[in-house]
This record gives sequence, C-alpha cells and structure tokens, in this order.
Amino acid sequence: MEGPSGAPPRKPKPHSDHILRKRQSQKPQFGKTVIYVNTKTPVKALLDRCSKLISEGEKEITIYCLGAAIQRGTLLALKVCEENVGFQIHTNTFTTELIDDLEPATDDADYAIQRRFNSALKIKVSKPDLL
Amino acid sequence: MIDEEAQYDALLGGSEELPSNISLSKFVACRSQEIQIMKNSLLTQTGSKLAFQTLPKHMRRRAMSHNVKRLPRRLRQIHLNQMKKSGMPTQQKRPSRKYRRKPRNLLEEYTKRANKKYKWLQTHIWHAKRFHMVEKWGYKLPYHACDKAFRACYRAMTQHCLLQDISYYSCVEIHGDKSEIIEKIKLLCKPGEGLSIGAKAFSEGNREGEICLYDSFQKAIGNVMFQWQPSIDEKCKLWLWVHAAFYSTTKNTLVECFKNCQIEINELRLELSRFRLSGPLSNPVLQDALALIDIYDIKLVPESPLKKYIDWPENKAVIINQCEFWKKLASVASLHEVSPHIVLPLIVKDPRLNLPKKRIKSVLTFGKLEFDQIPVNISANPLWDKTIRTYSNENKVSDSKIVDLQSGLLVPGSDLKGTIGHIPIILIQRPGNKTQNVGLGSGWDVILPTAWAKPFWIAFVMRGARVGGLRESDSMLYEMGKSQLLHPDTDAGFEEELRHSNQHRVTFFQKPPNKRINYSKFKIASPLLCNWRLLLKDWNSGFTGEFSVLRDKKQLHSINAFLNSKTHPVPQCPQNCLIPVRLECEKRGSLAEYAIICVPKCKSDLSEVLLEPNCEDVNKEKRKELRRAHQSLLKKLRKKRKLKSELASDDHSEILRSYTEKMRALWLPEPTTIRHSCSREVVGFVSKGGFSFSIGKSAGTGYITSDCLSELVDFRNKVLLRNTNSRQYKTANLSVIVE
Repeated sequence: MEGPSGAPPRKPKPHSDHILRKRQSQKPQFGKTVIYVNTKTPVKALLDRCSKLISEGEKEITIYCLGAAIQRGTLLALKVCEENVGFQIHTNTFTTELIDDLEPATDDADYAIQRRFNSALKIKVSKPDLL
Repeated sequence: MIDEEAQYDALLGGSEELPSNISLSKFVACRSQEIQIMKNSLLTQTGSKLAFQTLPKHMRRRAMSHNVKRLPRRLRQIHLNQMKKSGMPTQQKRPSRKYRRKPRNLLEEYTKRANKKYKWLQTHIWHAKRFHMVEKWGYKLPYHACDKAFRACYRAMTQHCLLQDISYYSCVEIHGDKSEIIEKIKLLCKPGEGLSIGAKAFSEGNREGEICLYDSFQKAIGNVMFQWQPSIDEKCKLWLWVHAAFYSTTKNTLVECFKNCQIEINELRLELSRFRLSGPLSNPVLQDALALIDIYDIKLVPESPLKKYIDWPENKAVIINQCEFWKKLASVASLHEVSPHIVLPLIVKDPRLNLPKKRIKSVLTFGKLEFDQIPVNISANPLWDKTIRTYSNENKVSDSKIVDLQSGLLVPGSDLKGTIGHIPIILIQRPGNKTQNVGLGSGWDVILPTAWAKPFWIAFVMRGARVGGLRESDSMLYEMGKSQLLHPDTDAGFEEELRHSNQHRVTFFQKPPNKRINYSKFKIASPLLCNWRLLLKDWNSGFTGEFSVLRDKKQLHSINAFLNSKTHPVPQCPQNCLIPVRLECEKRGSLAEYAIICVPKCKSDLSEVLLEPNCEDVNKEKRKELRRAHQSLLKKLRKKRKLKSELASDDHSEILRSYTEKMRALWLPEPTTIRHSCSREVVGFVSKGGFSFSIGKSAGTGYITSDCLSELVDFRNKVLLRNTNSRQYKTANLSVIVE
C-alpha cells in the first residue's frame, strides 16, 4: 500500500512479532466548555451538554473532533447553531500526531513506537456581542 | 444496784494469796518472755485478716480494699498478693488518655503490638486510624476506608489519583550469572504465556515485566513482577516482586531451584516499600511531591555512599538524563502517553521540606509534550546497591528535628531550604487497560527505601491523592475487566476462595431460618462456593482432581475468535482447564458472586424471559422431622434433669453439635452434580460480579470449563446467567480475558 508519489505507506502494518497498541491522542485543551467528540457517545447527549452550557450563560463552546468523528462534530456544531439563535461557527482544521506503541510479541523484539497523522477539526461555537 | 465483782486478792476477799516479797531477777525474766510473745503476736497477722484491717481505725479509708492507692505504701504489695490469692482481678484503672498519648508511651505501645503475629506496613498507624483493617497473608492490611468511599475511589481512579500501599508485595533479589538465572527461571515458567524473563525488552532494565511462576509439580504459584539490574556485566541482579499470599511458596521454590548454583538470593522486604498511584492526576501528584536534587549543588557528607555514587561521572550523566526526562513528563495529561512499563529512577529531596501547609489538589498543567524516541540511558539506579539502601534507611532525619528546623524559620510556614536527605526512588509506569477503556487503571508505581515510606505517603496524600485499600485493588481489577489477582488453580487462590466462602456460610447461618434463602428451591447446587472440582468432574469423567487455569495466549485468542465468529471451528484446547472469562449482561439487573453460567438450549431462551421451573425442597420435611425429634429429646432430658436434680448437669454439647451439623447439611446439602443441577447445563461460575461503573452495565468475571466449548457452538458468545437468589435467567455476552 504505497501512498501517492512515493509518500510513506499510509497504514504501516506492524511486524508480525509486534502487537499494535494505540495510545490515546493528546488533548490540547481541558475545561468545562471544551467538548471532545468521539464515535461512541450519542450526538444527542453532547447536544444536551451544549444546551445546558448555553443556558448557564456560556458564550463560547469549543468542539474538538478527530478522524472519523469529524462528521459527528460538524453535525453537533450545526445543531447547536440551529437550536440557539445568534451563535456562529468558526472552524479550524489541523493535523494531529498520533502515537502507537509496538509491544513485543516475541522475546527477540523490543518496544517501539510508530507515528501517524490524522486530520482534526476545532470548532468554536460562539455568540458575538452585538454591540 | 451494783453487782459486787469477784475479787482476786485474798485481802479484798478473793481467792489468791499474794506473796509478800518477790525475787526481781526471776520476775523480770518471766515478764520479758511474756513481752516477747506479745510483741511477736502483734507483728504477725493471725486468722483471715486483710492487710488494711491491720491499720488503726483513724488511718482507714473508704473503699480501701478496692483501690490500692488508698493504702499506705508498705501495705500495698501485701494487699495485692492477698487479692491475687483470693482470685479478685488486680487490674487497676486504665491510664489517662493524656498519659497514653505521650509520644514515648505511644511508641512503646506500638512496638509492643507490632511484634505480634501480624506484620505491619510502614503506613500502618496512618491506616489504622482511618481504615478497616483485616488480617491477611500474615499482614494487617487496610481493607477499606471508614468513610463512604466506594464510588469516590472509583472516581479517583478514573479522574483523580488513587493511592495504595502495596508493600505486601515483597522484593526478592537474585544475584548471579545472568544467563544462568534466565535458564533456571525459565524452568519455573511455561512457554506461550507472553514474554519470558529473558526477553530483550526487559534485559536492559528499563522496563518491568510480569511472569507466572510454577512449582516443580507444574502447579501455578502466581504472577510476579520482575526487573533486571541495568548492567552490561555477566553478573547481574534481578528483583522479583512477589505477593504476600504466595511469598513463602515462591521463596521455597526459588531456593530449591538455585540449590546447586553460584547464585545468591536475598530478601529485601525490610528495605524496600512500594506504593501504587493510579489515575490521570497521579503524574501531577508526583511532580509536585518529588523535588529533584540539584546535581551541581549536593551537600552530602563526602564519605556517604550516595555521594560517591553521584560523583561518579558516568552516573552524573544518567542522573541529568533522568531529571530532564522527568521535567518533560510534567505536561503529560494521561499516563497512557508514556512508554509502557518504563522504569524511571530519580534522586529526590526530603518530601517533608516542601510539604503544603494544608491539603491541596495537584492539577494538570498543559503544554506540548515532545515525543522523542523512547528515552535511553536513564535506568541506572543507586537502589540496587545494598550500602546505599542501608545508608538511606538509616540516615533519615527524625520528624522532631524537622519540626525544630521549621520552628526556627524567619517566616513561619515557609519552605525549609535544607539539604538534608537525598532519597533514591524508582518510578514504574503502568499502562492500564490496553484494548477496552484504554488507559483505565494507568498510573505510577513508586519503590522507595522503607524508612522513607511514611514521609512520602503523607506528601502524596497532602497533594490530593485519595487512599484506597484492598477492596479498591479488587474493584480496580474488576472495573478493568480483568480476573482477580489470585487464580483458583493456585494454593493461595484456593485458600482465599475457601476463606471467603466460609465467611458467607457463617453469615448465612447467623440468620434465622425464615430469613435464609432456600437455595434448593432455586435449584442452585453450590450456592456459597465456586466448586470448580465438581464442575470439571461433571464435564470430564477422566478428571483426576488437578486442574489449571488456561494462560496460553495463543489458545485464549483462538477461543476468543471462536466465540466471536459464526463459522470458526471449535479450537483444540487442553482438558481439565478453566478459561477466564468476562461477562456483560445485555439487559438490566444485577449480577452477584457465585452466579452460574449456563448454555442456552434453544433460540427462545435468549429472546424471551426464561424462568427456572418451580421446584420443591426435598429436605423441608426432613428438617421438620429432625427438629421435632430434637425438641422431644430436649424435653425428655429436661424432665430427667428435674428428677435427678441433685446430680450435676450432664454434658449434652455432643448432642447439640451433631444436631446443628445435621441441620446445616439439610440446609446446604453437599452437591452431587453441578452441570445438571438445573434445567440448563452449567458451564461455570461468576467469581466477581456487580455493577461496573466503567461500562455502565452489570458485568462480572469468572471461569468456564474448557470441556464445554463444543456445547457453545450453537450460540457462541451468548450465554445465560442466573444469580443464586433468583429463578430468572439473564442473557449475557461472553468473552475470554486475554491481555
């Protein structure tokens, strides 16, 4: 599986004497108004969380999504704007580095790491001051 | 009218004639004898007089015989002896609390108690004030905190920091030729259970590994953690961290294994302690609590072994590397981002110098973590040296001296700027869960010299770590979806199960008969014990009584593949084995210990609510009969006693005992079969069950027999579960626990 124009293979397969363990991705930010979208939590639950934050008077919510969850993240951001008047979206795309551990499966192998890149999205849903 | 008294002298009308003269010497000699007799009789007590009764009346006091202190001092001992003879308790009033709490008296009391039957952890006194303590494996161990902390400890594990003292894991040092050690220890292991002790990944000493040890009869002992000394020499040291439940067995096995070799085995139980921190905040807690030494400004005594170690140029470079790596880790949000099982030794300052004034909570700091390659040259470590270990254990400055220093500070409450105490410690990363709930249970293990355990413990607690006990260790494994620590095929695991089951039996029979669960009505053959032997015998007629837990990873993976696919053939599996499994209920309802795992018969079993048909208790009439007979017997005996009232009462304890035994056997009859005990075939037991916070469902871990796999072909990973106190079957998903 050679990538286009001599780029490194997109999904390097671990050697047979290694087990691939994915590490959690690094989170760039933490906080009450920061929401990370994954593929497991239902969008409805996240939407409720956003609505609760807005009803508590928050002016800005940051939504992070990565890889397969991007679609769900955009859906969430759009729904938040749809349900709450006056909220606008500001989007940034970026790339994050992901690390996998290669755990040895045989006695002769040693631990190693493997890097991947994945596209990510940062959506700022905010209500600008009218004045 | 006055009666005339009879007179003595003849002159006054009496009967005696008095002599007209006496011989003085004769008279005096006689009198002196009489005086002597009188004096003697005054000195010696006669009859049954008590000591205080010899006192004149004006010196007597109220309740004198009760309180010895009211007696004059010369009579106290006599009085006490008399009291002892007459069988009265001589115990005096308990000393006042103020007296008892004086540090000197307290310490005396502690040393008196600590030398008894059970070993104490270094943090015992801290725990004993706050925890329920249990006697286990020769130790007094904290079981759980006295406050309501079950959920709080789970939260600490997932969101904050949970701290545990696991010093009941003892360290055994093996010193000798490296290849010989590997060769010998490989004899105590089985291949196919993951990486062996000689694996390349561990040989440099920068990672900790885990292996399962077996004794000479191929019977499992238990899992031990190990770590190699980082050295390039042929001669090398190995540390094995062994759980207290199987420590003596392991030690004996090792001694036997290395009998005729040039290999030395040392116990480091009294020299090293081990703490366990789990949860995302364990890194910030450690970052705050551990103050690194300044390598260029060490004010140790020049002849101290630690100073010599630090001054060695090679070691200096390593220490600088370690410090740099540790500083880099400050911005780690989750410990899962650190290379798994990595060993990071550090030399830190006395934790009492920068103790916060009151309990604070360490929080995450954010920054970009630079992912270099796995750090090299950081694993050299002074704790491997015995002289340095002894030095740091013996040269701990006492608490009182620290307090004195603090009281001499110019600004009260500021940090001490002392240079006293440089302590070598080791941090070991634990990656936690690797497949499901990734990172759950991750954290650091800290190894430190025993004498320093308490100051470090307090330093961690003051940074917001919540302390857990043995219950938390169990629940952590449960939430992570792993089997319990002690497997049923080991001696330690068997004893643990038996002890647990006996406890349940006692509580069962403490209840009055109408509050006891009648398990025979629910068709539960073995309600208070996971009877693995009978289960295995039911499934395999050639069962000899010895069984083992399947640990071969390849086979476990193939069984998992068989359970998860629809077409996979039944894998080849050794007989008489237990397979560790995880169960997740599909619907609501709780799951408890000793629940049975059954195979569904048809499709409707899984789709509809399945109930075990009603069943009569065959023993009910027998119990009634027995009770009636016993009552009438008692009545007869009572009558007999009344007739022969002058005779001392006969001993009927034997009758009572046999009655209790018979009755208990009728309540919980010995099972004859487990497999066919109810309408669905039983394949295993749940050994730990409940509501799992981490998956939000009822879940459990248990074991099934390896001989039943062919029965699972129809429904694969769908099984039925039934609690011991219910007729209703629940559907659940079955999966094999593999690392």
